Amino acid sequence: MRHPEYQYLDLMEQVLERGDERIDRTGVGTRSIFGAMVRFDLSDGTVPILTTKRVYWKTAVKEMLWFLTGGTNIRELLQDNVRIWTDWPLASYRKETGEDIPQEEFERRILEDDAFAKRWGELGPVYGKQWRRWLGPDGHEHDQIAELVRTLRENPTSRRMLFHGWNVAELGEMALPPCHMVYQYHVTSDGKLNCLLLQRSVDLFIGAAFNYTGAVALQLMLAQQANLTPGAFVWVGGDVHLYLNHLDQAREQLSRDPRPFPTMKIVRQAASIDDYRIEDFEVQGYSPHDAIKADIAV
Amino acid sequence: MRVYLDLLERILEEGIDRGDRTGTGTRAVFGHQMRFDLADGFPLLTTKKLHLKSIVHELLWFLSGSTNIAYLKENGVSIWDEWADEHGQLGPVYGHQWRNWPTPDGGHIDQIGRVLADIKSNPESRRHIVSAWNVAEIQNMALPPCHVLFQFHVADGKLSCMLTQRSADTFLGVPFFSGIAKWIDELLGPHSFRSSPVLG
Repeated sequence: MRHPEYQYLDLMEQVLERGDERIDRTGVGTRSIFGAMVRFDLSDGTVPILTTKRVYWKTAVKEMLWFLTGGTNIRELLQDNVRIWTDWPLASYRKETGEDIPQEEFERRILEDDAFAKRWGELGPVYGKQWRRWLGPDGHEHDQIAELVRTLRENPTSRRMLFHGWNVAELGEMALPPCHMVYQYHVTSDGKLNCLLLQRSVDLFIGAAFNYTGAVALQLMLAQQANLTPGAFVWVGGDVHLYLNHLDQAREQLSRDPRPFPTMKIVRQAASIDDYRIEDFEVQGYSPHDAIKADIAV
Repeated sequence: MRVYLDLLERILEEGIDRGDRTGTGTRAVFGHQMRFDLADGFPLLTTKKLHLKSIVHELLWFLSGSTNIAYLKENGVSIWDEWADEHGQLGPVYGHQWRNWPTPDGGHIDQIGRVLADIKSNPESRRHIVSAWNVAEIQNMALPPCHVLFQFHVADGKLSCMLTQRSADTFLGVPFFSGIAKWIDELLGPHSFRSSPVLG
């Protein structure tokens, strides 16, 4: 059988060769196609952590755990040594104050100064807020994750097991509107949990690998909570693009042959969906090609 | 149209039988994508007769923002009857969310008006999305949205649409959803475009 990672590599090649070239919001420019789907089978214990470049899977899992806390301030991420969300608050700080502060200095102040973190580290009502505390017009808050876990346990044939962060009323206050947008689940009659992630906007070189990893970590957690086993992970992309300053890196990655996917498991039975820690995740058999450096577009 | 028949065949052959909310039972697969190039014509199924008038009236009714079946009844469309209450009300379903998504401060957002304006002023945007899954209002809807959201994409003067459906009654429901992209294209003028439904 052809290595499942080729689904990703084929998609990358398609964007590289046939993508429509345009200037985007960030000013960097992209090659873009619309509408894609890939599918991975997790039932043998493997997970799609890409092997044609090193993916910092712990960072992706930590980010997912942070979403689950409902947090929206980068301070909690920085305390865990996760720096992937710093760019957006940093850009608004520089823009609003005119001070060309280095990233390390900005992060140090977020960590050390409560008032500074509160004023400058906040991302607005992004993922975690919507997933755990979606605010209704009547002031009532909805915990979509708790509701999902309950339905997975009590009514697994439901076709309504989904959650998402696209709260139309609050998009304007978010540092970045949700990219990985809708997570839908499906339970088969033999107890397998399938997940479909719909992503409206996909930075194929930097973002997608991270999003796959975070989503399957969540799928493993939900499966454990509902006493199910992981089945298929299906990923759907809307605007799938390569930034124009990632094209050489994409070509480099395409020249590499995939290696066997690693396995991921959760080594401890957690009491609830709120009880997971990074130490609970064990990845084995991951020997990827070297990392490939690229700048993120803010 | 072969892609639709391939899906039916996939469900029949690979699908897993299970009970469901309605008590009828289903055979289901999870995750499927179809793509139609509208330059080749409108993807209205030909392997069985579809009631095009109902499809168009339903779409016009969504776009009006209405959530009462009165308009549908006046036009001889009965597809929503069984979910309506004695006053014809369905709760804050599709049309309400598309045109009047409520905000906590008492305001409303017209997603359709916004997406049309954005497609014109900022066609490369990756945020051309209209969603009906308002978490806070699901419980008040007669039926939560099946076609959950749609996204548009502009490239080379062509408008593409991706429709995401969480739950797809492949025999009765799916053939109905081809109208949305066509409609928005006509509002925007003469382009050719693609439409690709994703099914949950």
